[in-house]
Amino acid sequence: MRHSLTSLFSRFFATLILSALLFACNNSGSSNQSSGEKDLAGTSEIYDDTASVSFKEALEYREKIQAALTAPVPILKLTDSCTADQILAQELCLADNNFLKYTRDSVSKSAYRNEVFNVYKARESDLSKQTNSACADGGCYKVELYNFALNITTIGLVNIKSKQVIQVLHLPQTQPEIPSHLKQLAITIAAENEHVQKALGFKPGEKDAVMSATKTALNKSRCERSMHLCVAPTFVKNNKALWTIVDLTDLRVAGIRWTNVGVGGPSVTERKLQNEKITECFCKTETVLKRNGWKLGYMLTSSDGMRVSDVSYNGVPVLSSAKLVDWHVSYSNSDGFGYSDAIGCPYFSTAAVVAIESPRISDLIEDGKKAGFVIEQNFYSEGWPNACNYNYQQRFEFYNDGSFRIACASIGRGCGNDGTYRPVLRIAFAGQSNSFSQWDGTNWKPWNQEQWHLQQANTAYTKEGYLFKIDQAGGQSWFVEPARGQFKDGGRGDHAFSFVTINKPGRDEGESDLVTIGPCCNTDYKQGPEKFIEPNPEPLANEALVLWYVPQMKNDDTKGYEYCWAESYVKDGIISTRKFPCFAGPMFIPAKK
Amino acid sequence: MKRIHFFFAASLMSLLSCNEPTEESGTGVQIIPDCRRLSPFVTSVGFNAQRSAFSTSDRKIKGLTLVELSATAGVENRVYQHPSWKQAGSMGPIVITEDGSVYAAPIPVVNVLENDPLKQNIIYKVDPTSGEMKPFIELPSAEKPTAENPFGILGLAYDCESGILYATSVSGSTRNKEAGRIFSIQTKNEPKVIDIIEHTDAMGVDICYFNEQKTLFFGKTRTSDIFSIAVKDDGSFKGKPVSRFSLEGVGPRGDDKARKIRFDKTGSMIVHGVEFYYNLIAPTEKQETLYQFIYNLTEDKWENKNKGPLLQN
Repeated sequence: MRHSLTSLFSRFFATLILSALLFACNNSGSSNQSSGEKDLAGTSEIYDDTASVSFKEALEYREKIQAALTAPVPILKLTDSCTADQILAQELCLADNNFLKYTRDSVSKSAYRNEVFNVYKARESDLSKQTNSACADGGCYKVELYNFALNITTIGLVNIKSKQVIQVLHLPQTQPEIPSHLKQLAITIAAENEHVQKALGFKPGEKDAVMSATKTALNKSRCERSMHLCVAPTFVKNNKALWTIVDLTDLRVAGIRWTNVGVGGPSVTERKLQNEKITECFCKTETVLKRNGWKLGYMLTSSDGMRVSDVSYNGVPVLSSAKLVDWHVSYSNSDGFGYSDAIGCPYFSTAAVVAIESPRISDLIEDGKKAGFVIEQNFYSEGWPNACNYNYQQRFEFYNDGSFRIACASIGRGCGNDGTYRPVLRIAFAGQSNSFSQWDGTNWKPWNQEQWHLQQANTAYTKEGYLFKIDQAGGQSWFVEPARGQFKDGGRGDHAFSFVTINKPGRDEGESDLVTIGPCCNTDYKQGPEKFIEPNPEPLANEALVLWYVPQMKNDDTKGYEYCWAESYVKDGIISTRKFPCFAGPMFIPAKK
Repeated sequence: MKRIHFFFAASLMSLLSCNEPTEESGTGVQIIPDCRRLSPFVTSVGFNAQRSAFSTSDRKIKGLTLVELSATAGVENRVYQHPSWKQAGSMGPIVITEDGSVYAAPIPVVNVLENDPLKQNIIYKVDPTSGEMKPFIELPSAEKPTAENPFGILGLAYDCESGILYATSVSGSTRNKEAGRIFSIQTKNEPKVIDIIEHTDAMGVDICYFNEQKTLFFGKTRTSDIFSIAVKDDGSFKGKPVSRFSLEGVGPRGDDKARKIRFDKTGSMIVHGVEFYYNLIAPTEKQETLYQFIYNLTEDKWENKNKGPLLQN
């Protein structure tokens, strides 16, 4: 059996996978283009796989961060050309409990990464009615502290003559002007980056980021989704400017994009870059992939997640298409409370949870050997893993022996620990004359008309674990093996509703993008596909068939037993996430002729 | 924490006018007096009009609701919904007129299960006496709606002087084609479209006198820009839209679009900014920021009073 050979769990969590981003329109731009700004959208590149930089300046900075994290007051102080007065102002603030309020996690007491960005003499405009009198002697300074983990700026107003902290403000989602050493570091990170060098055609120096055309070397940028501190060193080549978004929280390049020099327009930010890249490369066009005997097309849809289509193996058509129509999430403690989420493209779509990263393609490794390949796509709510935000994954596994698995997972976190996820998978088989049968404990019993089935404790399987069989006109047959915890991916079983319907030409029952197919909270078979069966089921014999597969995964937040869950924790002063995916989905195994 | 259906939910729309002054000398902006009146049916269902407001933002009740704010701490607000108020699914913008009529439009939230994509360009009217909600007018789309774009009408404004309703719609717009429209609509007598601005995707909208010319302001949805266009007495548009200022780079997100525009009694423009990328994301926290812009008559430009979000006490 497939699962007896695999160590799928390790595939997901170990480093065996040699992951590579798929760039369907991998055009990193050319400085000789004379394109309009709109056309330059195709030059967007996002890098979710780039490691943190490791050159000398970055390593030295990291050492300082680590030292600050272990200090009694976990703050990296400002030392750039500070006067004695500035140092005193800083020290006064660092001794104030209110100023230090957000420097550690309130529960675990783990230190956050904090750094004083600026200390300067308070200007008249910095003062208010409340603070005017306390600063009348001219002794007031402002101290700006940035918390990289929480994206909070704390501003202390301190009088160095009276040695009093006058006022402390904590400003969420606010970032102060970055200090000169971080500006320099950002430029170096950009200049040292291979993608930047490749796009420019040369390795830029610091001076290349300083140009009159854009007035400043460091354009303002934002990382709206990651909530990280980002800036954009910009390099000009001929009549184009290459924006490089540098993530100073992770110390890496997050993406690049060409723009026209001198054209006033929106700044290049993380969200815009991601939306452009995903839209241009994966939402507008289908990519054809040929690998290991398999041939297929894949693209992101408006509301049905990632769709693979025209799948064939060694030239034999296997699937017309496969996609994920809806995620139904219901919460048992609140009757009727939940969501029916579509997943899909980030721009112009009916998706509630959207793709912000490119699809990933990687080798499937079994027992240390390449056994096939996998295509994965994640869809995120922007606030994930905070409560009521979601992260869904689609996963298509294609094996060298002709088997394949259509899987999906929720990675939490949702609105509570009483949630049940019901993804609706639509799998349309190739060919116009298929038949479908179910193992009844003794024989394969044909389904004569459109119907549904629930996988339960008393469901009969073959000794290999097969439940259904699809026979195609050309003589090829496929066994369907539902997940029952055997795939070693952490999954605890599908408990799936399976529906089979006819895929009639001229009658669109989900072949094109489907809007929301069903409500959030039905616990029975009424998940949406029954609409195409009731009230008059049609005969199935010798028709093109669609298998609708709706697994049911109950989440769990019990320590050590988490499932469909995610939680935040502090690592190296930054918020990280522990993921507990609940994978589900059937394996399809070719029957030997 | 619950996921909040905030996005287009017009926050509570009070039933009573604030009797705001009509003119602020020297600002270049003259507001049009608020004329909202109590709908007679509000008292007929036993609600106190002074504490009642229409809402489309109730998380658990789809459609339009009437909310009576509790006068006692710890006591829950009362909520009323006429059976006809949920026929359009989730709803968004609301305006109230001088006779207590309520105009509202549907907007899908999270999904389109109860918001038929083909019915998102309909303005509904609530009868001030019976409380019954019926379709008032279906606005013509320039292009047929597609699966790419679940939205239709996004913004409403009412000119209390002329009785003309203004609506923004992005129905039929796609990634590649801006097919939205801005409508002026006659509400007196038979409902009728008076004029249309073509090829314009917009959301928040409001009307005032600007440099003594009646002017419609609207927030674009493909960019963060605020535009204006002169309006004639008969409700038709005059000239071409003019770009006034942008929310680009302003506020916590930097790419906000104007969900709602209103003028306060000082002539300031209050802009409700949200993230909008023509999808149905619904963040947990209410990601809406208020900005206050003041017109500088001398320099002929709009200035962000707080250099960022409007700080509210």
